[in-house]
Amino acid sequence: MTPPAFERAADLDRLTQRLGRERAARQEAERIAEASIRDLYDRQNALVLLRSIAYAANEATSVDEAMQAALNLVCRYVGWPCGHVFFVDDEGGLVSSSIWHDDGTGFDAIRRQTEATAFAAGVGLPGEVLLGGESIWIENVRTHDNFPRARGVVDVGVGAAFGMPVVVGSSVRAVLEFFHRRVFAPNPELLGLMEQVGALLGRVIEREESSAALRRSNARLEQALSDLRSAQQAVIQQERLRALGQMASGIAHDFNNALVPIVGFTELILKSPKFAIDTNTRESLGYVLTAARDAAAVVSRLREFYRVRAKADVLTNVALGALARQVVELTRPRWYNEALARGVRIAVETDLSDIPPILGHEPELREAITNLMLNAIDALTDGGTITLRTTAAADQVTLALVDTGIGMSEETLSRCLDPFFTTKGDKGSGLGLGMVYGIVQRHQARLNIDSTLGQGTTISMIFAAAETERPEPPADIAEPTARKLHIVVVDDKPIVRTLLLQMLAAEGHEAEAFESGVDAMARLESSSFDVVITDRAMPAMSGDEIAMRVKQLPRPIPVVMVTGFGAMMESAGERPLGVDAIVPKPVSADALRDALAEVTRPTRRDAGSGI
Amino acid sequence: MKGIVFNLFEEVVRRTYGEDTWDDLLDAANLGGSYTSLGSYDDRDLFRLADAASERLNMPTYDVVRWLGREALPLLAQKYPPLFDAHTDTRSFVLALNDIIHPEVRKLYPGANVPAFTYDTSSPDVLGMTYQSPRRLCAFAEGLVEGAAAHYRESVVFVQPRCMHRGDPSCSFRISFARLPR
Repeated sequence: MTPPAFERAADLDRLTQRLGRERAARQEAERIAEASIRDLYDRQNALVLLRSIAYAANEATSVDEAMQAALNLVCRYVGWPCGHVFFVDDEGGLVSSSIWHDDGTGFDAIRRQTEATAFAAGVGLPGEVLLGGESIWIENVRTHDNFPRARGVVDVGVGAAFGMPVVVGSSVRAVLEFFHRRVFAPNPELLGLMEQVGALLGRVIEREESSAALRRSNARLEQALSDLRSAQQAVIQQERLRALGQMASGIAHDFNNALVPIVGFTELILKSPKFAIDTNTRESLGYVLTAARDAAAVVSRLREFYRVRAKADVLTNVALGALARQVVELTRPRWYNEALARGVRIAVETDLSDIPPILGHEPELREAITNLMLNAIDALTDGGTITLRTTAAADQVTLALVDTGIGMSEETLSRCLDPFFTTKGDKGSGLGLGMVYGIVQRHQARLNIDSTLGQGTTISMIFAAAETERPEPPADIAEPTARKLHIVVVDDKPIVRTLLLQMLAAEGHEAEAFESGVDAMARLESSSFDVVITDRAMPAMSGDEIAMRVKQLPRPIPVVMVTGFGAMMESAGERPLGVDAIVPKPVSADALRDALAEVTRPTRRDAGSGI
Repeated sequence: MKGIVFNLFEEVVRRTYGEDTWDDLLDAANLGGSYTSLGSYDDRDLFRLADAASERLNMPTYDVVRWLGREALPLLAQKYPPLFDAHTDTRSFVLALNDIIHPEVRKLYPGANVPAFTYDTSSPDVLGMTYQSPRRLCAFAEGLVEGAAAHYRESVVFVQPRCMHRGDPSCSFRISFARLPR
């Protein structure tokens, strides 16, 4: 059955409405989908941009390079043809950089105007970005009230512009600006993205600053490491010398003690009229005395390794040239006669110009130059030339010994100052150059060693030139005592006691000797004496304790310490409490006489001074 | 061809000739007619619909396509106002096709195969425009420009010295605009 016409019309209306709803629903669905697709597209592109900038920034070797890459990528992303970078200087001002992106289609006007305009904070687009720390969009620069570059210009060639900050922490470090010929309405999403780009570039600046700080820090560390190595080398060198010094002082003590009776009794026999000796015996004893004194000198030379400048050392103006000439003559038997005997010829040349004197210890300096000279002679195994040259520059005076000998390898050069290091085998002690080094150090001078294997060696001693005035010689020289003294002698070695008693007797003094400090103190407490002469290292009671006790007596008297440690104590500036003078062993009659004279002199300025 | 073009075609036909006409065109072209703006469809569907419309409306196919362009533009302006609001005249709008509008089209319709235009702006009065596309839809472009002129209240005069439909390698237009009195 066919429905009535009015029913068919109603159905048709309903179907048409239904179709309309379906179409509207479809269109709404399409609109939502299109918006989502567009949003996704924008996000993808933004991610691509950020990733590209991050990659370019990582690849860049400088901030400028990273900025240029970012400028190019942003221009390509937004389709804008021109971009530029400002940097913020240390005073917080904007500095136009040479970094531009320009597609070459007529942005000369804006570039000229940019270079001709000063941008303080708040001035123009970059100034506004700097002041606010946020991105800014200008729809049309021609009508914008803060775009000075468009003022007075017929056509700056720019419509829209936007600027973005490059931020490190909370501070703006650069501003990027972009231009388009046409006018564009603000795009907040783009500005948001640009702030992410700004943060990314901020990290590049931060990285560069960290890198620069790291480089500076590294340079400081390297310098510190180098200083540390130098200091370490110096400490090692000093430590070696100190160790050697300790060993040498022990040897010196024992050796000096052994020499005491030899020197002492030989002197006594030679000087005392009670020994009637014939000329031959006197001559022989003279040899003995000279040999013993030479042995003592050898021992004393060991202390060059460990001693510091003693107060008693007298520094005088020394003419290095004259000293060098002396050494040349003193060593002539070695470099001329001995060399000729082994069939080689050594020529010694001097170039000793007139130079200022230096303040120094002449005997030490003579010894140092002699050592260098002997080394040079040893280096000339096949003959050659030794040149001694003095030069002066500024406040420095240099004495150089140049030989054309075998030279040193790098390894030898690095160890040549080490004690006992020698290339001469049994013929060398390995002590010579070390002594020279010690002497030079005590003169606060420098030792330069320059050597090439097979070509020769140049050793220079560089001193500070002395003031022109020569220091006065010390006036406080002890006068021999004329008074007969009543003396207590303490030494655990019978032979030393005997020697000292005889020496004192020869000088007209009365002396009583004791093996131990305990006995000596008992005697001192019961009787009156003028001086105590004591050894240092003794069992039961040491010389140091005796000195202290003597000073605690109701009537303290001077104490002279006679010891094999004398040289070491002198080097260390050591003077035990209560000791008025130190006489190093092997003791000589003269040294003992001088010490007694000093400690008993009534007008002594300082009870603890002098030896 | 993107579904948006078919949707525009349907809307324009429906508005002008009613629902039945569009159904008739689909029947005549032997097409199902289910098009969504985001989908991609065979170019030949469009040509078959245009041919069907030509026959039904007794109008040359070129004119049908040109009419489609002209009538579709207001719908586009309604749908994507920012693309039109950035311009105040037709010349400016046309010049933005390559750099601004087509990139936007690509954002909305990934894979859209938009045509390339080249311009000759040496004369302030006459805009030279060249169209090249394997689809040879110069009539659609012409219609869209006419629709844009109407949108910006301008008259437009086309001279087409060359056309791919006449065997030329590309189509060229010399276009003059004039502001219509309010």
